[in-house]
Amino acid sequence: MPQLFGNKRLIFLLVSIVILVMLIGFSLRNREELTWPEQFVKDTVGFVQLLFGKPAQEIAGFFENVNDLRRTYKENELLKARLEEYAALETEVEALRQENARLRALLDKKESLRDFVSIQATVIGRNPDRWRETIIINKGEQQGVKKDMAVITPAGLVGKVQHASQFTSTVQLLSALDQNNRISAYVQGKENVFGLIEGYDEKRRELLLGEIPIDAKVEKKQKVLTSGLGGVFPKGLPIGEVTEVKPDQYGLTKVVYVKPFANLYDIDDVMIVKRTIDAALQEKEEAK
Amino acid sequence: MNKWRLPFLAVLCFVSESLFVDVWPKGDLYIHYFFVPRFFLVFLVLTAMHFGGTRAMAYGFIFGFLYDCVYTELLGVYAFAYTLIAYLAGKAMKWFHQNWFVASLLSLLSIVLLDSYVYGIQLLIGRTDWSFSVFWERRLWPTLLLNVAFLLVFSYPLERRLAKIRRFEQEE
Repeated sequence: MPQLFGNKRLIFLLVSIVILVMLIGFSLRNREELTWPEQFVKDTVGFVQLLFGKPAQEIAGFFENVNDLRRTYKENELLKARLEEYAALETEVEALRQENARLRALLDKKESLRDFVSIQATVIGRNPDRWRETIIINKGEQQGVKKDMAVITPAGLVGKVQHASQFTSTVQLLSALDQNNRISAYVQGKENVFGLIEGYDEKRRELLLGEIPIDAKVEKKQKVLTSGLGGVFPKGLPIGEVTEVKPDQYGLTKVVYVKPFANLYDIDDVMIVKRTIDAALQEKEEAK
Repeated sequence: MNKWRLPFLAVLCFVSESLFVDVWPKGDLYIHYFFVPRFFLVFLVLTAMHFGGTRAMAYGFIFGFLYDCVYTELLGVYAFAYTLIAYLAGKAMKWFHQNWFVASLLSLLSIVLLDSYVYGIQLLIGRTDWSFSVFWERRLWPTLLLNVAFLLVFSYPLERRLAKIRRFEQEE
């Protein structure tokens, strides 16, 4: 049997393993920005993916449409019933909005953590090996996307921008949250209860909201929203609904299970959310 | 013109992996089981068979690096594995008969190798806490199943295509 590796090749293999370990170490550091060769590679591949992806998605979309047609009647009935509720809600929201604007004018407080502008984006790729659920979208720094911005669908929060390169960016989905990437959130109630989204329970397919005081009152069915306190998320983006409350393993704080509103897996179009208060603050600083 | 046929095929296999996951219906099956397409790896083994290990290694390194950069953001993992698998496949092809059936079996073997290796790395850096049996049941089996289906449909045409490209190159 011939030898699998010659002497020279064995040394080469060992050197490669050392380089591999070094590269992994380099990538594991908490990097603020990707190096420019990485950004360049990402944008180029993103462009190629867009070329091939459009036709593929159109074909897949056609089959989905055929599937949808079969359910149309039932859904239509349900939607009709919902429409009346919606009209009532709409007038109420409008009234509240006007009142809010008036009160703000009274207080002379123009910016709010709530205000945001959104950037529309389409998913152009996914991480095929799925060890970490990420999606690639077709907007990047050139369109104003920055690291850590919130990514939403009309239903609610789905993730945050992990890295932005010039024309594409990578979004880390909520289902792939790790300990380093916590999101500040609150449970809506008579008294708002603040906590941190700390992780994702894969079995239950629910998010974990931790750091909640043991005496706080949290009940099932209450809504969980972003608080806008940490980082660049605006306030009031819907995340999900409380399904269970229990004390944590040391009994010092509570852990709340939150069922996300948005489907964290089936995502086609997203919006990247940019807080307007940051831009306003920046302008003020520049004016000084 | 002929020079670009092989790279084009490589890009097609590479991009189709991501597209496949994107287009795949996201039901319970998708959430519970991990069907990982390894189309490029099949291409790599077939390339090693027709064009020799050295060329396959070059492709493996370049596209492995692209995979790391674009998808996993964990540099070096796939670049290393793809190059090594291309090298081993090139060696193995000298011992066996060169036909698409042997190549298909070798691709399956390299998929097992690659996925176990990536699982090992994820375990080492603490990104997963799956035990081996969970990995076996939820990831390796579905992945193999998907790629067997892919091999049944595409390995023969792909192999013919590569043989044709080789003939074109030899004529020049």
